Amino acid sequence: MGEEAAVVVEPPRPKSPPRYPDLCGRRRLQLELQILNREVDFLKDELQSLERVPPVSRSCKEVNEFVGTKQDPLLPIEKKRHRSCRLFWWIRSKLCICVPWICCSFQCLPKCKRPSCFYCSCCSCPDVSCCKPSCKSCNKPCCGPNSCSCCDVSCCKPDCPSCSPSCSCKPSCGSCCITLCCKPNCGSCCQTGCSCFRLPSCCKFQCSNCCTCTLPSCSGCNPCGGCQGCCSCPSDCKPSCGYFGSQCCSCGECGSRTCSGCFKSFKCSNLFGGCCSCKQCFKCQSSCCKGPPSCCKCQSSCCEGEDGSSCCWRPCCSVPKPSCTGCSCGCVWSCRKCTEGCRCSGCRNPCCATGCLC
Amino acid sequence: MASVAELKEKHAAATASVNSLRERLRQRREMLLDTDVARYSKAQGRAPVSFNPTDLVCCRTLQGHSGKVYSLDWTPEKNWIVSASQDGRLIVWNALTSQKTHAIKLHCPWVMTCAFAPNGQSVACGGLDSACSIFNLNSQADRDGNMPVSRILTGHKGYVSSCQYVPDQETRLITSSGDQTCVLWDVTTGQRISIFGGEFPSGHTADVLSVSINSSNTNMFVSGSCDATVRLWDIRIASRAVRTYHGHEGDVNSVKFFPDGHRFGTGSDDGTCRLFDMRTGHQLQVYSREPARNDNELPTVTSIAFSISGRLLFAGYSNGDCYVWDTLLAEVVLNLGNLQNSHDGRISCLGMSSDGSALCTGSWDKNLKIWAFSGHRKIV
Repeated sequence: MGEEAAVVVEPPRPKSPPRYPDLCGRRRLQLELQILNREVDFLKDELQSLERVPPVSRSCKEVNEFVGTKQDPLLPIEKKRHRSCRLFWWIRSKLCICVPWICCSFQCLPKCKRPSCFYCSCCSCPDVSCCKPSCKSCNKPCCGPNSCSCCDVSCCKPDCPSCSPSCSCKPSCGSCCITLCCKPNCGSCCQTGCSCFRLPSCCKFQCSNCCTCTLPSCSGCNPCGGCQGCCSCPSDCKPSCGYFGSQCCSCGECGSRTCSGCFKSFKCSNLFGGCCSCKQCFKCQSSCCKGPPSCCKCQSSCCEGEDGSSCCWRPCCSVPKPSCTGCSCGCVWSCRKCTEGCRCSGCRNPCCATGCLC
Repeated sequence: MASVAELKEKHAAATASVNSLRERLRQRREMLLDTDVARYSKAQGRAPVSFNPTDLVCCRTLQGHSGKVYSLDWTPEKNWIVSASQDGRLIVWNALTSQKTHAIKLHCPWVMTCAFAPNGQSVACGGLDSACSIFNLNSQADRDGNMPVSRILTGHKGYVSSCQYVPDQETRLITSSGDQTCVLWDVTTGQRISIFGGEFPSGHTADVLSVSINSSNTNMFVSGSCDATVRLWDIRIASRAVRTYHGHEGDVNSVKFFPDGHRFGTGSDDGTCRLFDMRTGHQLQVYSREPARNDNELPTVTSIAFSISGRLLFAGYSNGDCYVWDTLLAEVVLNLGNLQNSHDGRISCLGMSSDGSALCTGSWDKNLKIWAFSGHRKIV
């Protein structure tokens, strides 16, 4: 056996990776150009389609025709004006006067709108919404023809020690000072350094004290994700709280022993070293559920004649109930005895399934 | 291959084209703006809506949250409401009896939105965890009394600002997000079916804050964004928005379809509500408050809802006001914020019951309130 000549096979020599130029800037530009060119096409299409689009008046006509085709449970009944009121209105419109005691007693003035308060120096309308600032219990006449501000300090909210014209009683301000920057979520207003300027989007929803929210806008800023250089996590973050581990706190009233949001039948247990959480004690709420109590499912009032061993989950409108007269429709919310709503088969209005005839 | 300089030149030219076309579009729309809803309605002799002080009252106050209420939703059939709060809980209420039927502790307390499934058996919620969690209300609680999550929809790269189930479809849900996209989900599998927007397909250029699905045509939905626009989407075509609606000058916080399904309303940080025509793109009406006094900032619109007939537009504002607008005459007919038992803080969310008989408002004062027409109503 002779020796075969050794065949030397050169091992493959992979080429070195080519040197690519830095395409980041070019690639980005190309992508943006593509987007812009698409946008140009879309805009051209839209411009062309506008040639066939009718004017706004056509849509306004359609809106007008539509409104009124459906009965609206929230709309008031139109009141007929009595002849004496019509005469009064005509006289008033000519003389441009506001005689409160007449208009209020005949209820001719449907609403004391601001323009009429402007001219009425003492517009004592029953509808106090014409008074400014908002005074729920302002039974005093509006003082001053132009500003219509309440002289009775008790009607300013919160309690303003002195109801000065410039008092801008913001609901959230502990003391009623002139604070241009008071935002609803500023813990304490009336700080001269309070600079509640436009909030970055991440602070929009989560910052509990956004008076100095100067951090840059972080789209998708998630304090529960350990954000860096962004809106910072709440100061009371505790470890082992919630879904995201050590980054964030998910305990509402940490340190509190009471759970104000608990149901009456719930118990408070202390978790996470002082954080309070509510434990649910399940009990069957409905008396119609026969058999052992199970988790709260029987919330609906049971239909008469039905087997109560299964939870009454279905609406009871199929069961014969008192006929739905015109006056009982709409009493769903005003009648405290009503525990379940349904639609009246006759008038199609919201009705009370439990037969509450108001 | 074009050089960077050439690309930059083309980029500038394309930008100029876009701006010029937008200006031409704006001018063309102005020419078509021959009237608005209020002027048209007044010309037709529409009588104004007139409320007595006791017509609309707060008939229920739902107390139980220990933090700001951020979102609420009604069931389509029963009078149940789900609410989401900064206290890290979802609460399900029987609105008629004010009873709480469920209190769901969330993994992440930074919840921003919640929604009821069409069958009322599940609720969805989302927030700063960038995910949407689904809870089945019939589930058994675990040993600690917590309701287990039945599905978590992950995929968004930013916070989930709004979610809504597709009407009559228990398995489809649309979310909007701070990552500038909207997503259509299959709840059963947890998969994303379509993504609307994002960098390449022309979508919103800032956080998307709200969505509203057209109940008359569930293939269409609108989204409102921090880029001050509203976009109309067809769920069958994710590649581009069907139309973009300009007009607002600030974040569009809330969008809702008008009951006829051909128009929609919006509420914005610029303090106005607007009514747009979905098909033509026209802005039909602006509902704006009087200018702010004493140099105070104009309150922003946080949420809106239409009454069932479309005649009333409810708008919640950041200062606690809740204006009831006459949609046709563009006048404020009532301010729920001035009535007895009104909220003490910002109105953060609004919702109309499916039968149109009640409005629910949620607030940073930790409460929800139900508003309804009081007394008897005779059918005419």
